[in-house]
Amino acid sequence: MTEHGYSSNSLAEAVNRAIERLTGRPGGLDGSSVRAWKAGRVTWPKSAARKALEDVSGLPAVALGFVPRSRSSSIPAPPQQEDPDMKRRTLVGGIAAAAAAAAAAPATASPRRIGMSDVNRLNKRFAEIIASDHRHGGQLGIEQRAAALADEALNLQNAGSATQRVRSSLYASAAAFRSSAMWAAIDGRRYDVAKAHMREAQALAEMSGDQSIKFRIWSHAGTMYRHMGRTADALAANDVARNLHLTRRDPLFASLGLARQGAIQGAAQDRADTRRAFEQAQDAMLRADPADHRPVWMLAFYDQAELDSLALTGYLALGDYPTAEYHAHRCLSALRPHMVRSRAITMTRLAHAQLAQGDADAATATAMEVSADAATRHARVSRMLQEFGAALRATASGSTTIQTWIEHTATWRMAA
Amino acid sequence: MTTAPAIDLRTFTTLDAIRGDLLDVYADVRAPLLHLPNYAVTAFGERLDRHGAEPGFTTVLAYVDGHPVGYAYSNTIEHGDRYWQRTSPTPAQKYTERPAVALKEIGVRPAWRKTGTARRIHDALLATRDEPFVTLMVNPAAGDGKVHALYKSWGYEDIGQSQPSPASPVLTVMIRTIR
Repeated sequence: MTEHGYSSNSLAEAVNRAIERLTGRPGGLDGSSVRAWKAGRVTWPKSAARKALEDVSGLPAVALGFVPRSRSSSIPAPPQQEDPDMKRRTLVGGIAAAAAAAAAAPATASPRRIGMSDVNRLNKRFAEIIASDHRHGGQLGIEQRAAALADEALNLQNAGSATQRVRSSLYASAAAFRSSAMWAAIDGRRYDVAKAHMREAQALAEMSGDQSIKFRIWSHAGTMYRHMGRTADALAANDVARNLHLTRRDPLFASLGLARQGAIQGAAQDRADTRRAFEQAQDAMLRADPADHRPVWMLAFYDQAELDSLALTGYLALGDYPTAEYHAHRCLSALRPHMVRSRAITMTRLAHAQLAQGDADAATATAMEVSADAATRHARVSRMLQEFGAALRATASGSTTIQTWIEHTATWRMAA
Repeated sequence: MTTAPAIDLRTFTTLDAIRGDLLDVYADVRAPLLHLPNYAVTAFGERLDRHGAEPGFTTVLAYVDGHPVGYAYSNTIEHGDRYWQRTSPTPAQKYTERPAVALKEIGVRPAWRKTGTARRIHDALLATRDEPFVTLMVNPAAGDGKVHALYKSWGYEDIGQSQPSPASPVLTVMIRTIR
């Protein structure tokens, strides 16, 4: 950098000003931060600094020689023959020169102004993705579209000037889109990818300062760890969501936090805690004012049916099959008609709860109500039905119900 | 049974094609226990999906006339893995300094027990692995200690105890060299 005749301090100042444009608060970097990048002690700057650096340089962080953490699956690796260390040293030096020059020159063109209408346009496209998720779920297409939309929201941040309110809304939207990508990856059991989405979403949510989106991301994280069989991590992540101030302001958020805690405690075989969590979740839901203002994603999915669906999951994991069945019936009667995927999952779980109580005929009749479309196209449903078939053959051997089930599943293969 | 059964041993490193066969044979092997939450087919399916995506996943299925009659599967574990962290006392360094095979499940349908099928599945699985050691966990009370005694007869030695989940009994951790 000294060969360019500029200090690390001048680059740090330029990045601090760019952070201020992004977040409304100047960044706190100094020359030692820049030296840490150059020396490779920091290989992937925090997201605000990274975005600011991209702003200042006009180049993506990867092109500057930085190496993302755990993002190998979603970001193409730089070509082998290029040495990221070399690039980072020379390019960061080059930016210092460019930044110093830009600081000296008068502004040439004024960038366009970004407004709430831009934010609303993105949110409308997001709503279409959410609707598609409720129909199909867990699919790679949904994940990729949501992640692409999050990047689009961030690009918009950098496309011109905006008020603090617009900036915060854009970060909140980008965080929401990323967390939907995370959810699709969890649903599709792609946990490494889900974790990469989670980290990005968490950083964006912090920049937005939006409590409800922070709640959503940590609540999703708890569910992800539950699916991974890591119940201690699941409870800790879910607690982050439950401890947000929002849950004291709005009992509906408190209810969702408690219901997901119940599902985790069921997986951890804590019988008494599971029961208490679901009772408290139900109380909180009854206290919630339906007229309160809430984000679209919350209104779209958390209601009495979802609470019963989580209770079904928790009691099934505990092996309390009669209570699981009770919540399955309640869920099915309250489920909104467009929740096609939820209905298929609930039907399948009900079939398991009935079979575990020894009623093979009722269980098979329930499993046969799952649509062929859901049974063949939704990976989670088809896996659970595969498990149902195995449990049926092992526990009801010799009954005619098995033949009925075999013939029924054969029709899917013809349809698929 | 007067003639030796014609057993066809097949090895797989991905789950997709044989998930249904694994569930079927598991459910038959564990039929008396399926009502327990930890043994439910759904719980096994979830574990299988996780382990199937983890390093070194290898499974061997034994088929007779195209029907699966036995199975085993394993993953590779390394120093610092939860498997070793939960083992007490801390295993000797010679076991953990290099990756080891953890045999997660092995089972044979009732009609094929005591025919040497389990041992053949076990040996076929290890034949594909390059690691120096293989480890497994066994409930010392299972079959009044007969299962534990069987693994001893296969060359395994006790090295400690582990409780892999809150719902699980305390298990004995065993180890042996692969070759």
